[in-house]
Amino acid sequence: MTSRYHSPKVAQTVSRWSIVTVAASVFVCGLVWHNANLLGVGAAILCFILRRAWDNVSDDRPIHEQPINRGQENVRPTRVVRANVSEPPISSEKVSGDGLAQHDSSPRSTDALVDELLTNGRYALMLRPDTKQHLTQSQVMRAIRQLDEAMALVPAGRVLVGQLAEISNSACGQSEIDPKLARRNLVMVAPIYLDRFCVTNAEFQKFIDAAGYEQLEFWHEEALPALLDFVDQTGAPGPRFWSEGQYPPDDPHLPVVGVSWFEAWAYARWVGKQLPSDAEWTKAAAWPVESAPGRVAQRRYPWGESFDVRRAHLYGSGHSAPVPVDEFPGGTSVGGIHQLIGNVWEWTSTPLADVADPTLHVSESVMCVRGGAFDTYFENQATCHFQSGEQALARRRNIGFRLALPMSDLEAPKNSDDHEQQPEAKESHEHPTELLLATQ
Amino acid sequence: MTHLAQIPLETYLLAEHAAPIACLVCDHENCVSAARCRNCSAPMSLAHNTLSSKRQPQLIAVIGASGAGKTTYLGLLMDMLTRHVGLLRSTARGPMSISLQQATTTALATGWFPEKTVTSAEHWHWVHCQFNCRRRRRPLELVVPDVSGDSLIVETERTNRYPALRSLLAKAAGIMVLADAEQLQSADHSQDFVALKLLSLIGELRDEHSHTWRSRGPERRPLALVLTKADKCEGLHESPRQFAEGHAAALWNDCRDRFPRHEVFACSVAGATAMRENYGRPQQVPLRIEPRGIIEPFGWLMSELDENWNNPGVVSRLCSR
Repeated sequence: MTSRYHSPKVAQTVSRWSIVTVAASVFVCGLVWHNANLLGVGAAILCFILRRAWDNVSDDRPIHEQPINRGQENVRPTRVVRANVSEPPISSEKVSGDGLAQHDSSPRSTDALVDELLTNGRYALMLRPDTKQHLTQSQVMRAIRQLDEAMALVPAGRVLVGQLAEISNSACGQSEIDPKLARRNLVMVAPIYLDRFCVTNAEFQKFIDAAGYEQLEFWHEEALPALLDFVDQTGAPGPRFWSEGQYPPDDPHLPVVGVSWFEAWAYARWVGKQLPSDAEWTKAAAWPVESAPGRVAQRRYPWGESFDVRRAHLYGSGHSAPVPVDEFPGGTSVGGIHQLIGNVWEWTSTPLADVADPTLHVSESVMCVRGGAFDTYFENQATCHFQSGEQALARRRNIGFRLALPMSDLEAPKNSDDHEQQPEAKESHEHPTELLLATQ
Repeated sequence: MTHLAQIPLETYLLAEHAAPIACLVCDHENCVSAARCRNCSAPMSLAHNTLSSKRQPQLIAVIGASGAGKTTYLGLLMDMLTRHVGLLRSTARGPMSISLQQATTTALATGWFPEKTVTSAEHWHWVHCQFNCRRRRRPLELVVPDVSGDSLIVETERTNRYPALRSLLAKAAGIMVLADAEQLQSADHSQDFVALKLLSLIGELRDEHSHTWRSRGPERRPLALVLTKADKCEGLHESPRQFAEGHAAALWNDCRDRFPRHEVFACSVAGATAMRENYGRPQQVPLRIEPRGIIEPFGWLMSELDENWNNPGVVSRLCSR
C-alpha cells in the first residue's frame, strides 16, 4: 500500500521538476534570443507550476492552520473544496481508488466524498472498477441511478459518417460506393453512454468552483500555454461570456458556450468522462440499423427524414440565442438524447481532417463540431451527417458540448482467462445495473 | 432600305419608336422593347416597373474591393428579408430580383461561396424590391445592384468605362462600403485604398452633378461602413467602431469627413471557412452558414433614408428576430 502510494508521488515530483527545467530553459532562451513568444510561454508555465507548488504547500498544512474561506463572499471556494474533499480520485490518466481507499477507515468521510462527487455530477468516477471496489453497494447504486438519469446507452454497431453518409442519404443507398470511401466512412462503434443533455452552465459552474482551471492534471498539455487566455469577461477563469467566474443570472439550464475544445476536454476529465468521437455522436443521432453486412440505413434527423422547425432550435425558430437544454422535446433521439440537432454545436474528440473528404484542406487543430446551432441558417447543415469544424482554441457563442462514457470504462479489467469470453460478456452487459453488479 | 421595307408597319412598332423610355440608372433613352439599356446595360425592367407603380425607387450603392463579400452579403440579405426577419420584409419586383438570392443561397447551402461577379455589366444582378416595415404604412422602393468589384476598380481609373457605375455612384441615395475585416486585421490595406478611391470618385461625381441637388450644402446621404468576415476577427461584432479606428483608420476617417451621417457595422456569413480543392485549384469554402449582423446595416440605412422610419430604436426593432 505504502509503495503504491509513494511511487506516483515521486513520479509526479520528478515530472514537475522536469517541466520546471524545461519552462526555465524556454524562458532563458527567450531572454537570450529576445524572443517574446518563448518568454511568454516559459513565464506562463513557470507561473502555473509555482502557483501549484504554493497550493500544495498550503494544502499540506494541518487543517486548523489553513485559511477558513467558507462564508466569505468574495473568496472562491477553491481551498474549501480541496481541503474537505481531498484530492479527486484521479491520478494522471485513469481514476485511482487510492483517494477513496484512504477514507475507508472513516465511513463518514467516504459518505461525504460520495455526496460531493454525486452533487458535482462526477458519478462516472465512482463507477470505475478500481474505485467501485471501495464503495458500498448502496453508494454504487446511487451512482448508477444518476448515470441512468443523465446518460443514455448507445449500443455497439456500425455507422456511416461523413461523405458516405451524405451519399447514402441522398441516393437511398442505391448508388455505387467507392470501396476505399466505404472503408474510411463505415465505422464500428463500441457501446457508450452519452449525456441526454448538453452540459449546462450550472454543471460547468461546479468545475469552476472546484478550481478546475487551476488543476493542471485535468488539462491537455497543448492547452497549458493558452490556459491564461481561458478567462471570462472580467478576466476570471471561466467560459468567455461569464462574469467574475459566474454564469449569467437566470441561465443555469442554458448549455455552456464560449468554451474551447480544451476546456470541454478538461471538464470531461474532471467528471470522469470524455468527448464523444465523431462516429459515436453520429451513431447516437442517426441510430443506424444494419440490415445486412455493410448495408446500413440511418436517419437524416434524429426524429426522421425531414426537417421540422418545431423539433430543433435553428435560425428559423425565431430566437437568436440558445434555449434551455430541455426544450424542443420533439427532437429527442430514439435513444432518449435531447437536442442533438440545434441549439448549440457540440465539440467532438475527432479532428475534422480525419473524417472530412480529402479535397478539404483543414489543419489538425480544427476539431469536428456537430448538430447545428440556434444560428444555423440552412437545415441541411444541421443533419446527423453534416460535418463542420472549428479551431480547438475558439470560444464561440454557439458551441457547447455533451460527454460520453465508454462502457469499457465501467467494466472490470479482464484477466487472461476471461479474455477469450470477451464478446459474450460484452453482449450480456446491456444494462448498467447488471454490468456494475456483475463487476462488484 | 430593303430591310426596312420588309418591316410591317404595325402600329405598336411605330408607338415603340415614338415613345422612348428612359433608363432608371443612366437616364439614357431606349426603345420600349429593349431588355437592357444600350448605354449602361442596366435592365429596362427597372424603368418599366417604375412606370407601372408610378413610384420612383431609390438607388443604393454597395461598393467595395473585389472579394470583400458584396455578392454574398446582398444575396443573403435578400434571402433573410424574404424570410421575414423581424419587422422588416421585402417583396421582389420582378423575377430578375430573385436571381441573386437564388444563386447565393444555392451556393452557400451546398458548401461553396457564390461565384465572383463578372465584369460584364450585362450579367450584373439588379435587385428591385419593395421594403415594408409592419409598423409603417409607407413602403420604401429600392434598387440595389450587385456590381463587380473589379469593374469598380476599373471605373476609378478609367472614366466612363462602365456608365452604369458612374450613374449609380452619382445618383445613389445611400451608400454601403464593404471591407474585408480579415485583411484589415492582417494589415493588408489594399481594401482601404480601393474604398478610398471609390469614396473620392463619389465626391467628384457629386460635385459634377451638384446642380441636380437641392443645394450645395453638406453631404446628406447616409453611409454604412460594413466590416465583413467578422467571424475571423475576435471581438469585432462587439466593437466594430473600435476595430475600424484601429485597423482601418484612413478609411474610417474619410467616411466620417465626407459623410456626416455614417455608421460602422460588422457582419459575417460563415461560421468558419476552409480551403477546398476545386478542379486542382484551392478555393475558400464555408464550413457552415451562420449569418450575423446582416440586417443591421441595411435597417440603419433605411431608417436614415426615410424620416418616417427614422426614430430611436427603429433599427433594433427592424432587425430583431
